[in-house]
Amino acid sequence: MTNGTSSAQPLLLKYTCLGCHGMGGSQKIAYIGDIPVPQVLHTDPSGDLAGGNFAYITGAKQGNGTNPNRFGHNVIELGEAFRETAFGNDPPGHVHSFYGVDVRKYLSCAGYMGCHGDKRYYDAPQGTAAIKGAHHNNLNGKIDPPGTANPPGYYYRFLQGVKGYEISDWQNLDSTHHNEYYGSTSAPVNYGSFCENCHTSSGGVLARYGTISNFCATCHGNFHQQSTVGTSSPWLRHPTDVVIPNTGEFGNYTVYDPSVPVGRTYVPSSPSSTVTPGQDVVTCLSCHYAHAGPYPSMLRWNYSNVEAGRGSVSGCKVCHRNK
Amino acid sequence: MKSYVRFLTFTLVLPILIFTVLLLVPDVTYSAITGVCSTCHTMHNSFQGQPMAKYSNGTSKPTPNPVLLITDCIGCHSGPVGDKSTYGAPIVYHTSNPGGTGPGKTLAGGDFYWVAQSGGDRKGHNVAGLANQDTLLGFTPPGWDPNATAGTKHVVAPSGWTQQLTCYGTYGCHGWSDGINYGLKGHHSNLSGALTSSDIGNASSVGASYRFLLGIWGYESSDWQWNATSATHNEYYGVNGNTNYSNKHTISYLCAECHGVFHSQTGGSSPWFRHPTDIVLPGTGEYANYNNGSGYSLASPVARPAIGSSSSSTVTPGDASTSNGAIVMCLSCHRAHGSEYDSILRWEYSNATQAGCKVCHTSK
Repeated sequence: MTNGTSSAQPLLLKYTCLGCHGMGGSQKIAYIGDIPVPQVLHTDPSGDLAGGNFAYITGAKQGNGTNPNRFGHNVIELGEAFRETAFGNDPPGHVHSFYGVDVRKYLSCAGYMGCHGDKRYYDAPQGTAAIKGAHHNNLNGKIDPPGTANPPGYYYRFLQGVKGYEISDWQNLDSTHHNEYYGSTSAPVNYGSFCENCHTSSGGVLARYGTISNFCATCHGNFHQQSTVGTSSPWLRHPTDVVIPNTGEFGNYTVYDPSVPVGRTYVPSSPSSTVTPGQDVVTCLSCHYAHAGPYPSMLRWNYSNVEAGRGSVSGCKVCHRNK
Repeated sequence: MKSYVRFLTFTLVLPILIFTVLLLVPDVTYSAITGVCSTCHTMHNSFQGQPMAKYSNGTSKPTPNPVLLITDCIGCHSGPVGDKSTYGAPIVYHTSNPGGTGPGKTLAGGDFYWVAQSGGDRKGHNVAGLANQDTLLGFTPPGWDPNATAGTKHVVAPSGWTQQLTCYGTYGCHGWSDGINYGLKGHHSNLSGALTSSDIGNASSVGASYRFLLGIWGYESSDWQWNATSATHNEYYGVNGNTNYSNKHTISYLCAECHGVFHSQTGGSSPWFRHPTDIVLPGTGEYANYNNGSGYSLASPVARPAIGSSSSSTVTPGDASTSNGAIVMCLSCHRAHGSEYDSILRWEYSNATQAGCKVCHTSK
């Protein structure tokens, strides 16, 4: 009864994660019965959902580059043929090693070496088992639960601990219709310097501060922590969870551009078309897709085409307006 | 009728159309520097899990550089041959012997190649990363006088220098000077051509200054004098009688920020105690025949009392007010970065030919 395998699935499910959410069909929102199911691997020419599309890795959709592995997170559910071959054992920017474990073999949709679901425990399961109950106690719209110990269904897109506003059709379409990502107001949180910034006392993983960038940092901490990013200009790496200045070139980003989304320092009840420099923040997702996209480094635009001094206001220059 | 329509088109419709198009253009002020962001910057110092940053010599550097740069000043502005590096930046440090200074060999400032060689202390500024500390001088520049340029942005403590000269910052020449780590931060706000901004109050002023020399005026030759002629070259700003440096925009003022004694203790008039700068080249005697009347000399250039919108081949000794005037400056004799000659001179002093001192001192 299961998708592509004869073995039984955890939670008595018929399908795996991708079995439901990566059917590879031509619709970005497919239906199982009368249930709309957001697709993260599809060939719909009308566009992708907010998190991107794993089809750029598999080749079902054509990306801009010669190495499809650079287009997204190579989750093992895609199959052995699409496993990452570069890097070492650890994700790029990881603060410390996975103690000899080759994470490329285990990066999963959910679980201890995945993104979704509850991974607060060292022995948390992988795959669908990690999101037990989430589909049935899922909240939507404004996601701002107290604390971090609720079931994964209580958090933004089942990302344990993360807050945000979930747009109902999973699509960042325009300035008025999009998810809202949660960010913090201060310089980069001191990710990585203290175990509890990313870990629980039981050895699991948790984005304690609830921001989307804090969540990314649990795997890519060196791209976010103060000691490797800096605390103010001149930065050593591009900062996240830092306020977009309301001075100079940054002050001109005032209308929400879904191709360069900003984070909010609060969890809104609805999407806003306004960007407020001096208040809104840079997030990892300001530049990157979460799942996969059509450009190398999972970027939202073709970085090799963004030029200083000429060209349109797009990509980096949506914020860096005068570059 | 047709001519009337044509008249209306060109005098009324077309201007309105152009104006409308301009209004629709996004509110963007572009800088002089152009190019793909990724040529110079790396967002996370990571590519396929490997560091992107590089040391000056091009080898991989595990730690990131400030301002998310792939490499540092020297790394960007060095190369084996030619005028531009692989980053598209003007080369100030040739890693191979350029065979001398001047057009087709080095850019206007000369080259750090010679000071970087063993025993080359006298042939350039001993910038950290390019050359070791000067074995004779130590950290402190010769002629250093913090009182010569009161109000300087280069705020080295009066007690003396505690570190080696750098490209930019408090202990350097370029960029914003209040703090060594603030960086240059001028490439994206860079202006070109004639630069005469009076604003030196903030870091963005760097880009509006001549060659990122904060507050200094001048005209920037677009090719940094790689193909210079007597008509196409940089123009330096100078002021006649600027002995107390009340004018802080001259190129000689910049030099005096580190070498003040050479400027504050000249004697004021002939007979001089030290060779003066920021003084008009006399229009009398031997000076009137500057460069044998052949105009601007690239070997012994003069500064201008006014910066024009283009460079000029005309030099008028005695003129202390126009863009064709002639003001003696430090760079009349010295290169800014380095040269093949001792004392960073533009020529061989011990064997001065017409190309040297005698471009001005024509009867000597």
